[in-house]
Amino acid sequence: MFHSRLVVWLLGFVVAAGAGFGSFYHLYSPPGEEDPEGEACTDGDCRKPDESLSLPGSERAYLWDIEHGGNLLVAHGFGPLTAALRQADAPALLALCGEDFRGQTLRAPREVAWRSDWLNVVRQMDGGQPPLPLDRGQFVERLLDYRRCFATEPKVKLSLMKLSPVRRQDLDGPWQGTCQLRLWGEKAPGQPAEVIAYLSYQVPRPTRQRLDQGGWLTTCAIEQSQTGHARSFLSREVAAERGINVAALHDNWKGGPEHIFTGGVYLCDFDRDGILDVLITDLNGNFLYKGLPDGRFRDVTEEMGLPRRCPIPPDRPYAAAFIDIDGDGWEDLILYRSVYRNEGGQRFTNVTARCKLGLPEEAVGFAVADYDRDGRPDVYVVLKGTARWDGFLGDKGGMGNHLWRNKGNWEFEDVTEMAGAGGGQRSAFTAVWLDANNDGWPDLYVPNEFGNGVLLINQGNGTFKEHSLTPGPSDYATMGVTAGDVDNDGNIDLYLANMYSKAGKRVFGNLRPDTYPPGVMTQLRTFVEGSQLHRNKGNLEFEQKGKEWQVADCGWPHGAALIDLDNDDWLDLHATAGFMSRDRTKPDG
Amino acid sequence: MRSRGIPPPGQLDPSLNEFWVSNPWETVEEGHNLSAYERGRTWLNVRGKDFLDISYLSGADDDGDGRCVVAGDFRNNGRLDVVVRKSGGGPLQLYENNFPQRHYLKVTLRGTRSNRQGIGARLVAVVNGQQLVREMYPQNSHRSQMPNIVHFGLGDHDHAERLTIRWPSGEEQVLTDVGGDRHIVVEEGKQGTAAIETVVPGQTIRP
Repeated sequence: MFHSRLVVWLLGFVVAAGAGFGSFYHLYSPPGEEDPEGEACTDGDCRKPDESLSLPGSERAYLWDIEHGGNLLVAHGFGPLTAALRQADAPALLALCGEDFRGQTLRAPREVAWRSDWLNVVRQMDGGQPPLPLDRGQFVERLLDYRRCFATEPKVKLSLMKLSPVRRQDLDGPWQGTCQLRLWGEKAPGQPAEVIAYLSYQVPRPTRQRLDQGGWLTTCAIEQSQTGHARSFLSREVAAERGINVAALHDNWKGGPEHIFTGGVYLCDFDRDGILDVLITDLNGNFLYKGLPDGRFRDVTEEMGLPRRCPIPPDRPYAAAFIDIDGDGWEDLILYRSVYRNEGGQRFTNVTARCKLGLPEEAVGFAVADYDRDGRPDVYVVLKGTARWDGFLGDKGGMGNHLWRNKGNWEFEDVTEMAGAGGGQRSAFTAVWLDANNDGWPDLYVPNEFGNGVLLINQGNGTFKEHSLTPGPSDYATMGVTAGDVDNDGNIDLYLANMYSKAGKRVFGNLRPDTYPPGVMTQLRTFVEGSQLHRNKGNLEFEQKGKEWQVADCGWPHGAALIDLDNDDWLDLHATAGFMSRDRTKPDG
Repeated sequence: MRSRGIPPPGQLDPSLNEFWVSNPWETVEEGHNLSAYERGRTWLNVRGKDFLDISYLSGADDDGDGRCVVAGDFRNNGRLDVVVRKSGGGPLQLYENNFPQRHYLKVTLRGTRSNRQGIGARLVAVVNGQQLVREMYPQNSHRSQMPNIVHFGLGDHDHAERLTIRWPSGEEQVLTDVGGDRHIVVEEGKQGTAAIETVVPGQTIRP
């Protein structure tokens, strides 16, 4: 493992580079005289910074020039293009194409399609045939075809993806890149429509002067396109309408102190009336909502004996879980560091004192399962670590998780060590139970915020054995996990919500391939690859389908859920995204 | 990881709003955007062969700073509504599922030898010859919990030809011809129709 602080900074950069305009980046020189911290290791694991991993100033300047060129291209090239397309201005679009413009599109594309009376989506990809050439006029017609999907002026966005000079280091020669073109709006009143296309292109070196002249698009190829429309939007936001007091919950965008994390949402029919209830934890308090027959909710927090507030430290939204500890059929509740017994759905009573269960302040998640199949549900307590400088490259960012075995009579014992279930010292937000090898014993996937997660295979005798989903580095910055059988082959698959960064990928792609030793380069690459779908083939073999099925690019995701939204018996996927948004007028970091 | 005053490697262009921080963590501390205004994503599973991005068409592609997500049938109409928590841009969203109505089956378990909720049970439904495998786990994908209810979408078929439950106790329970479009409770150890109760919302489900 490489422990250079320099590499940490570089990784920190690619981790931090968001998916926006990529208007900034930072690379670091090796700590030397500039670095007063160079000697200040206190963890007994000090290493002298490795000089071989430094990035020369000329390399840093090169990467900076590319990013700056990208900013210019976006502001003064893409900007006019999207405006012209929005307005269906054919002459303006033609004027952006160079005199000797060469375009191309897919010939006999391969399709993935959904055709029904309520939803039509067709994605066209490379079918293996040589591309169809397009001249300037034909290319503009293709763009206008996209525009014609909309009855009124759509929104249009062109997002920069890859960008580099065609000949490495030759900044004044031609540049090449890729981008995503999105148009969204209405096909008819109330009927949403969208186009998503991926383009590759060549341009001269982007400068303000050259772009303002027009005719800067030298070549452009349509690599993939997707058009879609629906009878109406497939969902509608109704939280406040249904009686949830959304205004009472913390929102960074409403001013006041900002917090990276917020509380959670826990679903359970705690009063067993056949209507689902919702527990919301938040920096501003706890909210237990009882579900009502018409789909509305009523706040019953205090009525049910739960505290409106837990004594949490700032910036540490705590964890909760419903779990029927005493097996009486009424699901009890772990809430931060307290345990509440569910008294027949009428009240929650605090039984923390009699319940021997280790609930540290640092717990961020609980995962419930009966791992030893003795008839009593057990609980895996996940502790989030703090970012250590050597934790970016491995499995030492966490504090170690704990497996607590339910002995009955409200007693738990910590069997972590005996079971081998700590999951290393990975920093994680959650862990997910699943039967990964179909042997009837619950296995556990522990993700890792700073590297590969691990699948703990239940040996059926109270112990677990570690198994890796992939032979080498794969996932990075895994913030969330969901499991389900996505291809209905009888094996449970895993979807990992990993960080994804367009800018990070772009800059990483512009590093010289031999900038770092191969092991480091591979690991760096995983930092910005995005979410991954590990398809379970059986026999504990997994294949990675995230890129092929195009479910990898999701900004900076935290949560994900495999749910059958359309009830067609195939599990669909929803993922949340976004880290910290401050100002729409400012570019993304 | 404190800032060490490393200067930018090039000229900053204010007209492009370029900015520089010597330490990635300062991005957040100094009030810049970081992975900002990312849209929540919805991908439709195309018969297990691929996924299609329907984020915009779903109406659930809000660009706030999303965190956890769960789903549940709050209206008992068989359609899963999605609940999203965010740290910014609207702290909680409940997306009412307006996909077309299709057949479904929801299953709650009552363990007798196994743990009461049947956590860890594997349920296999056969619907028009197709096997669907689901597991009973109250999954925590990120600061969240799904309910102890297994949800089967049945598509155009109003029943499951067979529903097999492999309980944590080891018992394998087989039910045939299980009518859909309802929420059922299945009790371990019982046979045939005696094993199944239909949930009536508003009436207490025997624990």
